[in-house]
Amino acid sequence: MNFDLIAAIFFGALALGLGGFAALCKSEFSAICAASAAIVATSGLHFLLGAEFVGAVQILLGAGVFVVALCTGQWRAARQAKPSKTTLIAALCAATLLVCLLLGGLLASTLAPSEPAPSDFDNITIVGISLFTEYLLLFELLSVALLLLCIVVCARHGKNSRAKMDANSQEISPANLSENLGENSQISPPNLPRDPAAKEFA
Amino acid sequence: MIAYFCFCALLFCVGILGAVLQTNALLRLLCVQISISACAVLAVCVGRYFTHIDGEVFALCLIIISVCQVALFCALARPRRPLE
Repeated sequence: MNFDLIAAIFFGALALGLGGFAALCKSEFSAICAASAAIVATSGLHFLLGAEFVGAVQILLGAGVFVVALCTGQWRAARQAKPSKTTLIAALCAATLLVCLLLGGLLASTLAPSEPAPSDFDNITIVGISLFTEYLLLFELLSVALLLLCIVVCARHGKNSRAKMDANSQEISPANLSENLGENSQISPPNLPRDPAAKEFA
Repeated sequence: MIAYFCFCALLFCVGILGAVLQTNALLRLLCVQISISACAVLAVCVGRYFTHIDGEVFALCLIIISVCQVALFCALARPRRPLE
């Protein structure tokens, strides 16, 4: 048997098995790890098909997002969380951006004439040439999407950090300390049983 | 080619099954990402079949959009305790 065939069967079985495990597993941590491994196995198929650039991007971005999700603890997200107004607005903006991206891709394919890929270069060079000539509009829209995503993540992180700092400073402020002391001074001591030795001393 | 088509169809169905069966929001999103990666493999395969680069560009866009979805969820979801 050919090596490529064996590798394709191996990566395909691995991706299907791990994907099925991620779909059916009840443990959230195990399911996320299995889904990450399935994505990496799928990128192996990209390498076998000769699309090295796409495979490398899938490994970097796909597995990177899984690692970020694990490190930030987002896998403990609430099961029945109600979406807030901000989340709905962000989802609407993301859907609009997705529609713009798809329309941009269609527009880019109609604007520029479709040329066959030059066969003298390697895969990464061909993808780069295609992105910067035929699909320049789509590439720019994707870049804007990633830039907006970075801005949203930074703004959200800054908002959470400020809220946490405000909560900490409110806990240790002098006003809170005096209020707590005043409340504690008015609390009557509990009726404890008297020590017989102290009674004798008195 | 037919084997790749069958594999992509199976992986897509597995991802959709996970998106239906799972209860966690992030896990549902990750199962959708598995389905999108199956579509990306199919796009690359079709591009190779027609000896054109468009399939790879389309797969690249699919991967970036799916990663944007997961990253946006991680940014907007309620922060929880990190993994210990």
